[in-house]
Amino acid sequence: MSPELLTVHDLKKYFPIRRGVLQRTVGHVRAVDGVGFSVRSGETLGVVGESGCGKSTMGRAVLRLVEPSAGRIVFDGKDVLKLTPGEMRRMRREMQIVFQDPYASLNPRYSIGKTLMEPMIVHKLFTREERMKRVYSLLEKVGLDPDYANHFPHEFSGGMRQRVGIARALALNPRLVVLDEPVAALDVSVQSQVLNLLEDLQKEFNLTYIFITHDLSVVRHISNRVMVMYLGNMAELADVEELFAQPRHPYTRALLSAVPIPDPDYKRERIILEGDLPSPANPPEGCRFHTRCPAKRDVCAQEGPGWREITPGHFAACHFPA
Amino acid sequence: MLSYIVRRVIGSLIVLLLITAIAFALAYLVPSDPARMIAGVHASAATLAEIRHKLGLDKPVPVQYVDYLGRLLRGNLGTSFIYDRPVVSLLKDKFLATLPLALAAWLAELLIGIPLGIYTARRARRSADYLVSALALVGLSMPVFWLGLILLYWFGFKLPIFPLGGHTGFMSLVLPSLTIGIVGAAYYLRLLKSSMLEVMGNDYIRTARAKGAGERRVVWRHVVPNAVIPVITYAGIDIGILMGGLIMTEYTFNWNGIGALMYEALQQSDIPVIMGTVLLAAVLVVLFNLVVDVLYVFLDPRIRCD
Amino acid sequence: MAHAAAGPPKPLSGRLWKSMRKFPMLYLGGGIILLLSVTAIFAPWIAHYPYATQFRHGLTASGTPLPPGGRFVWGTDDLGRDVYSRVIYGSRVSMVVGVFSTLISLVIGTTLGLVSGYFGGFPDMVIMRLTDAVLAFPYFLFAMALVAVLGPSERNVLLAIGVIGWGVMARVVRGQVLAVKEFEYVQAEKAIGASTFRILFSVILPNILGPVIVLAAIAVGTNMVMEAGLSFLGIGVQEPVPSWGNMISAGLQAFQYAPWLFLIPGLALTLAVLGFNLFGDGLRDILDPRNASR
Repeated sequence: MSPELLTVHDLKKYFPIRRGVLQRTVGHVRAVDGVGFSVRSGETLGVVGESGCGKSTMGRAVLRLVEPSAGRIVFDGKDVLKLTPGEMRRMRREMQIVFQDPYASLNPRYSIGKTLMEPMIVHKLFTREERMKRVYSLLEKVGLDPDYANHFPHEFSGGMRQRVGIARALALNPRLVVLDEPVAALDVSVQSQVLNLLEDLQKEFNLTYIFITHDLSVVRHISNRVMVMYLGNMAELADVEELFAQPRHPYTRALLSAVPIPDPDYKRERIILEGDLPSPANPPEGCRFHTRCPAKRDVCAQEGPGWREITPGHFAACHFPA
Repeated sequence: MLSYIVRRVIGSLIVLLLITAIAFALAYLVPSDPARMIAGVHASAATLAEIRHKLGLDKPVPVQYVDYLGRLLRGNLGTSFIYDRPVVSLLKDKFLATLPLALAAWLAELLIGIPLGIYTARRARRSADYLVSALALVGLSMPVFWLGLILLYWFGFKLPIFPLGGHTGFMSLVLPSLTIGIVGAAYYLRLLKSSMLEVMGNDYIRTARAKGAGERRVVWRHVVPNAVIPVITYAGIDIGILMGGLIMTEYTFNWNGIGALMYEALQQSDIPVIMGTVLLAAVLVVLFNLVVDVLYVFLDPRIRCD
Repeated sequence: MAHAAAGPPKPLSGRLWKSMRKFPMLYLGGGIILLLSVTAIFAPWIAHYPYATQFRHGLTASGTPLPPGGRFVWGTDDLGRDVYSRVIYGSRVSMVVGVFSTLISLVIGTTLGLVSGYFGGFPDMVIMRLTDAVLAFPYFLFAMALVAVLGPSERNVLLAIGVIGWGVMARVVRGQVLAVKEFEYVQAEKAIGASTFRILFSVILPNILGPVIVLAAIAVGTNMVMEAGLSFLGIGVQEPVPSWGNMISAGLQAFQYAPWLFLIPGLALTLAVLGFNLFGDGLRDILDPRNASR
């Protein structure tokens, strides 16, 4: 088994809520509230959950694009949260991100070539000619015509823009890439092309992915392991086959039961969750999920379940795992 | 809602404090020595030191500022060098002289600007709109003091209908308030027009039309009440600015108000008066800003729920 | 990517004409500004005489100024100086003060607005309260007080106007930054390891420049009027150097028998301000997404 590239301990991100005359902090939105996991070199960790569960904030907090409120992030043996601003900027060469919205993530005033060259300029890498050459080769790697370097983002479709976004993330030869819903904004026909591209690039450059998505079929296709998040917490974490074959957490079971299966004879019980997603500013006591859980008992409302290894490599946060 | 008002009041107080700090810094920057100005050129060093001590000028700057704030709170703005009178009573007299002019000018702006704003909005993109809008832009580009001179030349001198200056009842108010009215109206016109055009693009206006409401009813019942809010905001701040002194106009028309006082003080380097007038003007702006913001709460239902 | 237009490209003159018909305000304003700049730069070649020369034949027998026409096309002033030449030279003061005071305001306002909008929190609060305070002083009154303190001269007028005129710009820039910084391309720049300085000035700034330039264009006109006003009151540019403001002031003394003395420089000033206002308005129309060209 490959060594661990990234370890996250008890990561938290609280956003203050300010009210009143003096704009005092009256509470916090607990977007990420105690998440810990590790990612092995070369693997893909899928992160799934409903919108608002904190998965996107978690991804950005790992890269310190939003400053975590608490926790420890160890990347390649270095404590990321202890780095000085200068060290952090150098560290960013190793860890990159691809954003969800390809229409918002490219600077409209930069040509494609300039967008791809920007990371190398920022880190003072290569000469001008070498940078140009690298731009062309990056464009080829993501399946775009090198001539596009002189064009501007508004001239491209969403899928092509997302390829540029991927090329930008690769420009610095990173080891870890956080993919934040990279195909959610794309047409279905384009989604699979981009997913295949991501898989090819992973093999070629030995990349490690954290793949954030709300789409279970995408996560099943691309991940080695999957983490399920609910309301800023982790619900379940396991190898992808294991998780889909034998989900332990009632929330995961509910999510999986909603995935359509292309077989008219297949019969199964559809689990419908009741109630709305509680506010992360005022999460329920005890188990976060108990207000909507079909299998809840008295203890769930009083005590948090804790993070338990149910079978080797299969973790869940539930008092009564299935 | 109460919290909103309290927050605005506290914000205004902070701004007022900053304003006094700026005014103090300005007075402090003056290269001339106030002690020397009072004592005269031939005063001895001992006399100068004594005057400095009496004025508190030998204390450290922060202490001087706190002293200054203390005097302000007691309503003491110092004594005018040239008039040898307390600045406060001087300001009061001149303010009462400026007040009718400011109000007349304000009314002129509104009476010219608002009807033309509604007119151009209803005829948007037709030749009448283009003509009036072009004239408004010219009006906006004209310096007030120059327009004042033109009016004075034609309607005071060539056709001697109005007096050439001074305040001698209603007739002497007409030209100066019209001068400000024309330039200021251009702004109201543009503001109201763009606000009305924006409101007219909304779905609820289309709904009103679809219900079969007449054009007149749509404009007066639906568009104008919604479009007039930014105009009210500006009008509130505007009257504060006008009351703070119409230096140029008062100078051109020989009107003996705050503006004229300011001009005089400038000529004579009468620092306490300069600071007093500047402070008065800024306080008026802050005050009317606050009034408008509070008024807003009652005008715009969206703020009430904040 | 493909060029939408079929057939050979239209000649440049045709395209220019089309663009001029579409944005008449922009081109009219730009034309006036161009005229003004040429006048200011080449004033010694355009003027008929030096601005300070008092001509022996420049006054009537009774000692009053000569009306327009004849040797002095726009007449003479109380001291027998050529009004045309003085108006031409006066454009220099207006342009220099108008443009450079705006540049000062632009630098201060943009920097404060960027910092305030990007960092938020405490710096934002301090800067915005300061902006409120500066904006509370009536612009002209504040400039007057400052010039009174600094002493009357062209340089001090320029500095005073520039140093106090940044309030609105800081507010507008802050608002734009708040909108732009949420875009993911700003996050992306941070993600590749760019410094905060680079993010502010090479990513955010170019993307908010449009509204700032509109404001600046209009501010040049406003500042020209301010300079003229200060010179009109005698605390700006000093005689014998001509400024449209001190020329109008001289006209005030003589307005009953020599109205051209205040009419002509005032007309020049109005035209110049109109030019910048037209240009600013025209630019705003182009930048307004509702008017996006198809």
